[in-house]
Amino acid sequence: MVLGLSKKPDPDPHLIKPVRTERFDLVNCNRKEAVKVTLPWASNPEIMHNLMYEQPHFSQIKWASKVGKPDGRRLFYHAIVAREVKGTIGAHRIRLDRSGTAIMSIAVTAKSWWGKGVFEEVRIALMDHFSQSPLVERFFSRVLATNVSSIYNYKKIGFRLIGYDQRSWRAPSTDDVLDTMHFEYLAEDWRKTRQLELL
Amino acid sequence: MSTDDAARQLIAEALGASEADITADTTIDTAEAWDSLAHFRVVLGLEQTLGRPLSPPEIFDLNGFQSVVAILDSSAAGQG
Repeated sequence: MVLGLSKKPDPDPHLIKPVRTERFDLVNCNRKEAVKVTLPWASNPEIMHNLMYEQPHFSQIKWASKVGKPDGRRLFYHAIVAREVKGTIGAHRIRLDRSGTAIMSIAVTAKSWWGKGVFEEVRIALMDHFSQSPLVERFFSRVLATNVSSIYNYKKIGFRLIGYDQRSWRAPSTDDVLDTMHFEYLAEDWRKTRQLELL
Repeated sequence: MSTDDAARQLIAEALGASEADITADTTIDTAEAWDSLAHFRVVLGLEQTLGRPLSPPEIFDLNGFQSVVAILDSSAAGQG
């Protein structure tokens, strides 16, 4: 008898390769590692706010369910490991949907690294890496209109503002209703700009 | 104070730079000190000056001296 269970897709051999930047190793995490490196997010109301989670903090158990299951094909977490200090300073998440949209989030939890170009260096390296996969059509991110530092970073890298939603997210801790902004960069355009080839 | 002078002063304070270093060509790409934290301070300075939050398009279009002047000018015009 054949049960109607679909086989989990295999990890993509290109996408799971390690990524290295000038200052950081971007370590592709399994589920346990992803929970560990993002756990500081769950207890930081500022990060929870900026990433638009529905609660200002989560218990470890609830957070583990929020993280999901990185599978090397549709969901990726990269620990941002600074070689200089031999430590994890933050994490980056990519959720790749079936239309080929890579939805990205990043949080640098080590405050001593804020304002030191971590976002730009990490994001460029990951977009170089992911844009070379035929699975990826575009990069997308949704950001609170009050998150000025992130907006700066998206603009600096060259993302297009494709729209914004007025009063579209209610902050759980303050009940403020905030605007969100939507950013996009087509993978094909990124490859052209960075002179990369599709693998 | 002219709009240009107000913009120069606001950007210089946000970047921790001298007003003399802020020119019409100063942008987020040309000024090394204009990083994400400085950008936050520029937005905050503008919002304090104008007495209102910037709109999402204003925040996104903000990329240097000229756009700061444009925002200050449009707000001054709006006060007619």
